[in-house]
Amino acid sequence: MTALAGLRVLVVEDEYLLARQLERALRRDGADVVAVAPSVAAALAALAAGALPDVAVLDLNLAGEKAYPVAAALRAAAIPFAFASGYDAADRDPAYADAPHLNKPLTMATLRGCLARLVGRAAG
Amino acid sequence: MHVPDPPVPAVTALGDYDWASTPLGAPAGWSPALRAAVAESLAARAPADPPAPSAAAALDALFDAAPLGLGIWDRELRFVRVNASLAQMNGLPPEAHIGFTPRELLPDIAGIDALMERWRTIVDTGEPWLDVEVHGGTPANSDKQRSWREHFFPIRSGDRVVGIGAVVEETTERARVEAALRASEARFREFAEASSDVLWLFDMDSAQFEYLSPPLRKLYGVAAAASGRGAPLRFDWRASIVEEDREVAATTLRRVRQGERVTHDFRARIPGSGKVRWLKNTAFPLREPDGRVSHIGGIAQDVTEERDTAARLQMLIGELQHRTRNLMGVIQAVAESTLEASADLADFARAFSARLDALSRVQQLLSRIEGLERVGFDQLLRSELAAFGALPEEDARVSLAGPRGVPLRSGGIQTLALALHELITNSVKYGALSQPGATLSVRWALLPVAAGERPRLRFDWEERGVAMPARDDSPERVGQGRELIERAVPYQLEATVDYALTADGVRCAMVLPVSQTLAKGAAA
Repeated sequence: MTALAGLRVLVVEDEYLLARQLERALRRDGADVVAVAPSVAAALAALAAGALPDVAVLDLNLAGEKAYPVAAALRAAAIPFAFASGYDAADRDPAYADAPHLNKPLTMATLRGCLARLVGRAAG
Repeated sequence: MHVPDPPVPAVTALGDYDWASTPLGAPAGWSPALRAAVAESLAARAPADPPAPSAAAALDALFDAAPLGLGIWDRELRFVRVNASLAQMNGLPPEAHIGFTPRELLPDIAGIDALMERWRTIVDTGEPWLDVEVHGGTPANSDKQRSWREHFFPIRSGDRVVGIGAVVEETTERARVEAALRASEARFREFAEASSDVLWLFDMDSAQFEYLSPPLRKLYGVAAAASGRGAPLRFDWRASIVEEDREVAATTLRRVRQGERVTHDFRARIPGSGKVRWLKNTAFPLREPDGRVSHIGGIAQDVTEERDTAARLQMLIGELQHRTRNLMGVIQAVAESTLEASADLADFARAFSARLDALSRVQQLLSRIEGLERVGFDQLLRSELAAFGALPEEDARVSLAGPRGVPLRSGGIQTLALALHELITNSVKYGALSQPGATLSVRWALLPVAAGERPRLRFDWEERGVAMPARDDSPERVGQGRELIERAVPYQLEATVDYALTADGVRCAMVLPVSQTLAKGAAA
């Protein structure tokens, strides 16, 4: 059993190659990637479709649009999430200061530990 | 600056002599200096006990010891008597004066002839002439310009004016100091008026500005004070500071008043235009000799452009950092997926290197644009074709048709570049660009846009006359290339992609949203 086994994860990332890589890495770790979305609209649609995850990774900047509406929806549904961004944490909306901030490029070890902590599992 | 007068002896210290009947007049009308001199000489000469000195003795003492120049002329304006102070000013022994007129002894006094005329009027009319400014040189030091303040009064005997008394106070030093002050202030003003920085002087007592240099006068619409320093410039400077910054400005004044030197930024709203400018202000206390802060001096600089530039730079740095980190991730992902599809290390090296090249080319295109500019679709296409020597001018099989400068959105441009790269690579290896009789036609156009719709580009890649390879020849990499074309482009660019391997060669049609702001003008 890995730390992420069976964990339902939503990936919001606009860069296809990064999204695909993240999805594959999470699957290798035993996670269940419920949706991969390139935009706020696609992410909200995935949540509305009922694919509710246990945890989410949000790229902060989605082709120029900020991922905050997705963060708000996740917060409303009490789903924990982490931001991943090429920008510094200091540039972030202070309303979401409590969410972990992962610097890009992501490493699987960091992501694994972060997601495990968010759902209250041991980092494995 | 005010120098306090020395204590003036009371009139009673001058004894009960009837001064009023002398040419000096009643002591109440004397100058403080004269009163001091008389009192001092009376005190010095006072015997241990009475009798009091005679009036003549007192006058003699006064005349000799007075720190003021005293002189008496007869009706012909010839010196009858001068005291030591006046003789010293004139640079001649007292006795050398007797019998000569000022005109004869002091020819270097400015306007001496006019003065002589005026003195004669005193003799004629009996009217005194007081508070006279006199300038010029004396035999004491003929090169040096000196100045005096003088009083002239008639000396009467009965009804007749028998001569003139003169009281002379040297003011050379005071005049020099005043002139130096004026010059210094004039120099300060020249600096202040010429400076592009704003210099100001604030009077704590009146809570108004005494001086504002031109840029700030212009900003506040205040006319320069006509009378120079000291006349407050009355305008509501508090109101011109934007509301959020008023508290800081007030705190600054308080701190400076307590002796601190404070630098702070604030925003001022320009009257009229209502535009807001950022000013960086350094304020410092100016003290009186007693240590009290009577004025606050300030130097302010308009830092609006500086702040804008700094903010823009900060944003660009953030953007660059974001792009770099993103690119690192993309390279990592490309390496990973290329590795999965590679037969061996040499195969990986070739394919990975070619993809990195494609990424570098798009970075170059991105780095050449500025601000709101966008990379044109034709630029991206031609840059990829050029890397394979496949531009129409290099390869007769290739034809291109479409408008120049259709602006691509920045997000996803890397993915589009990689997709184009895959189309060309596959064509070079297995398609039209690998076979002599085949052709490649690439056509693109902006689609008609309904109101409120985003502009979209349609792009058609059409290979013809290609002898398609047997199924076995098509390696896994083709599949990987197709993933970039058929999955990455729709995912990231919100594009529709129609890819087909026909018997004649590859056909690929894409419809993708392009940049909204500049599409219209650039495509026209």
